[in-house]
Amino acid sequence: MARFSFRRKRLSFSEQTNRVPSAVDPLDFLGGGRTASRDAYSQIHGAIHGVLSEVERSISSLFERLRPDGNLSDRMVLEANAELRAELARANTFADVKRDEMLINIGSRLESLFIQRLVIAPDEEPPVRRWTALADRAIRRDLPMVSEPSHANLDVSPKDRKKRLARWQAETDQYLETVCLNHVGEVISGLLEELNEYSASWMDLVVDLRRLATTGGRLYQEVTDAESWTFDSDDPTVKNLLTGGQAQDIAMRILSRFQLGNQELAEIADKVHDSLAGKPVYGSNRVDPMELQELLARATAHKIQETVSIDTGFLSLMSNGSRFGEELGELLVDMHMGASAMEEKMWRVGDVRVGHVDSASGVGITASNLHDSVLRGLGGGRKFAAVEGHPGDNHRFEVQMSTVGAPVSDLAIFRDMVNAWYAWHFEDVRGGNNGDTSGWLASVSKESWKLYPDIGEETGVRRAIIELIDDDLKKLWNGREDIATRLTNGTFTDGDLLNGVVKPQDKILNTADPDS
Amino acid sequence: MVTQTGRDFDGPRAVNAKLANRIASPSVVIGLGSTSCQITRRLDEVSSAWSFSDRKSLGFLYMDTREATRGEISRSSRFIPLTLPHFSNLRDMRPWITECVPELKNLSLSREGALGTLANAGVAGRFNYGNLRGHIDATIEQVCPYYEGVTYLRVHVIAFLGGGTVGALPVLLAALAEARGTSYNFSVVLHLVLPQRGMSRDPETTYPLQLRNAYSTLQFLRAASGIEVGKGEHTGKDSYNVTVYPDKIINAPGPHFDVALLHRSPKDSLPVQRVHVARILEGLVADAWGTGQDWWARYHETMREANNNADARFGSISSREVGLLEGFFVQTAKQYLQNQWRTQL
Repeated sequence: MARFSFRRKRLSFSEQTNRVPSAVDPLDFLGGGRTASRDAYSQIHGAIHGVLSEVERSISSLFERLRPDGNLSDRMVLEANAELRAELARANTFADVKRDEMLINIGSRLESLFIQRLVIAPDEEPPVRRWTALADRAIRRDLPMVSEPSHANLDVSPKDRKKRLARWQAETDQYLETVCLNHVGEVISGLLEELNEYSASWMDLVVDLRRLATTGGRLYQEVTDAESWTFDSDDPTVKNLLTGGQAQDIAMRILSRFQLGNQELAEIADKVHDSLAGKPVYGSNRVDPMELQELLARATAHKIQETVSIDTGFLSLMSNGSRFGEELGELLVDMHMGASAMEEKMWRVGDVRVGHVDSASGVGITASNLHDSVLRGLGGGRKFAAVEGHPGDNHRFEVQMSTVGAPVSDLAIFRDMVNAWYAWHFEDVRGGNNGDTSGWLASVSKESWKLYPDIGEETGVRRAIIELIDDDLKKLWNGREDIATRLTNGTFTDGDLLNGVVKPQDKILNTADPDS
Repeated sequence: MVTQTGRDFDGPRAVNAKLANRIASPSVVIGLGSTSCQITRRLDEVSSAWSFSDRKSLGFLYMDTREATRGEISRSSRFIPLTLPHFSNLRDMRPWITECVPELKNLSLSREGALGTLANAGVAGRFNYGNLRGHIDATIEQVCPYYEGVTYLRVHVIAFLGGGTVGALPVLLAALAEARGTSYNFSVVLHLVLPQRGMSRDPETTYPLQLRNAYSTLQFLRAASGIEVGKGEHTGKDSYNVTVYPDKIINAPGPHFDVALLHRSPKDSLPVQRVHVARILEGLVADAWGTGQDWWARYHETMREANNNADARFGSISSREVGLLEGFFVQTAKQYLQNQWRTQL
């Protein structure tokens, strides 16, 4: 009577070749979606199987050489045995490397998932249970024996040799599949261990974050306290002109339009992961919740900054309220009176100027009437390049919340420089104030080398410097300046001073003051 | 109130920061004078923690009239002493001398208060011109090996405007102009450190001298940039000649620099000044990372939109920090996270 067995036969390595999937990313099931545990298992299996395929091909070629109808020497059998052992060892090494690579990938994927879910779905339970069924498949089997046939065993009739070679190859095939399955099991075990740690840490961390974010928590206090939104720099030439309340208001408006896509989330997770430099986000040795929150905030900040485009820049966000135009104009006046004004005085020429870019990254488009308000605020026809015409009846701004406003004491430096330069000419030793013009000029001329880096008659730049300084002096003079009066105590007239410094016989420069 | 500085926003992990690729364009940093050499040395020290490839793209050159500066920098650094041989070994009234001082003997009497006059460094710079050129070429070759195909770099020149050594600036710019004529193409960033009253050893006497030097040097830079004022008899040309030892005339065609940054220390303290300027310099040298990347992107955008060359070269960019804005966005991100956790947990 025939006996039937219903026990499912285990497939050999070569039979599995056409069954297992060859996914480009065998761990993509960790990224979300609804992959069943069975499919996840197949993908892991496919990945390990894939790396062993090369070994399988080498082994097939080995058996090909031992074909049943050819001659077979003792040496050939010995070599075949040795080669086969080497290939089987190679199979173990390949599988070990792939297993380790997958375990590392699993760790980083789960860390990324952990971080992403903290940002977008902190209320959802971790997707862990789905994979618990995989545990049934993580079984370790003993490696089967692969025989070592002798020359006598194979040097038989072609028919017998064919049978024996087939048996030998089947043993090898089973060995490879067992190696493959054992490594799949190890990957699954590693995955389950990670998931356990993930799950336990998630529960703990969620409690911590709730405590931080709710009323009375540290994060809550940090974001609600306006003082925390008032930034200042230890550089006195950098001044934040926004109050804490205004900054909070702008932040809320930015956030009302802010949404994170999958790509951005993944980038945030990568950034946090990189910043941690190997410290895990879950597990017993995990990062402190406060530090994790800080790193998350920094990474998210970059995304928010990137997302605030020109159309939704700061000024357009700020540009509401009846007095906005005037207020902005006032801010720009402050800025203009600050260090930027000093630099402009020293550096800029021409009517059309390049905008003074201080820390402009908030470029915005706002209502067209703002242009006029700001220009009015800056005083008449002065062109201030922070405001420039823009197509579409809008105006583009290159000013942002942290504009420059220097202390008044800093503004004096340009004037001080001119004063110092000028005062040198009227030092007591030169008799500048005693009315002896010729003696004074001789003294100035004799010592003028102390003032210039280059006084060469033919090659030097002294004359050019004098011409520039002369221009500065005239501008200061015409601009109701009091330098000369203060320095000379009214001894000289305006013309005397200017012509004195640049008099022809001083062999410096012949520049007459047209106003004198 | 939250005080923010740029450094606060560096990555939290030193290891990570070390691995970051900071430099896209190689840089040569030249310190001119004691103050500037100290700032340069500070950057040299900070950058020692950077990755090997970043360090390879950075070269340092120190120039000072004080020999003692050599002892304050690392032994491997290139130092050019701006010194002269004994006067008896020099022929007076040569053009390379009289371009700076009517007679050589004036130099020995030229200390004004705590400052040397510009002429000391001017004459010494002319005397050491060959040395200067050699070091510049070698440093450029070092950071930009020609066989690697890198031919663009930035040269950062740091100079304290109130000092005396800044008198060698015209010579240095002439040497750079000559070097630019070789197969390398580079832009020059001038870092001009302004004098501050509170940092002067004697605010009543030396500070006005510092201001005077600063003013003259700034005007020299304006003149050398081709700014035309008044009748334009002597201005409007961006090239100038310098006679160097032994009586060789170097023509320095413009533009001599691409951007000039005026630096002021947030506090009247030398260590603060050193750290502050070095930090800004660090940001600008690291043009592929953080603040520097942002700054250069904005700079190039501004240059594209510049209305004329003179404007483009002059002072459109100043060395402000973007730290405040970063602080705002971090705070906004905290607000976002707090919203998420408060509403969903």
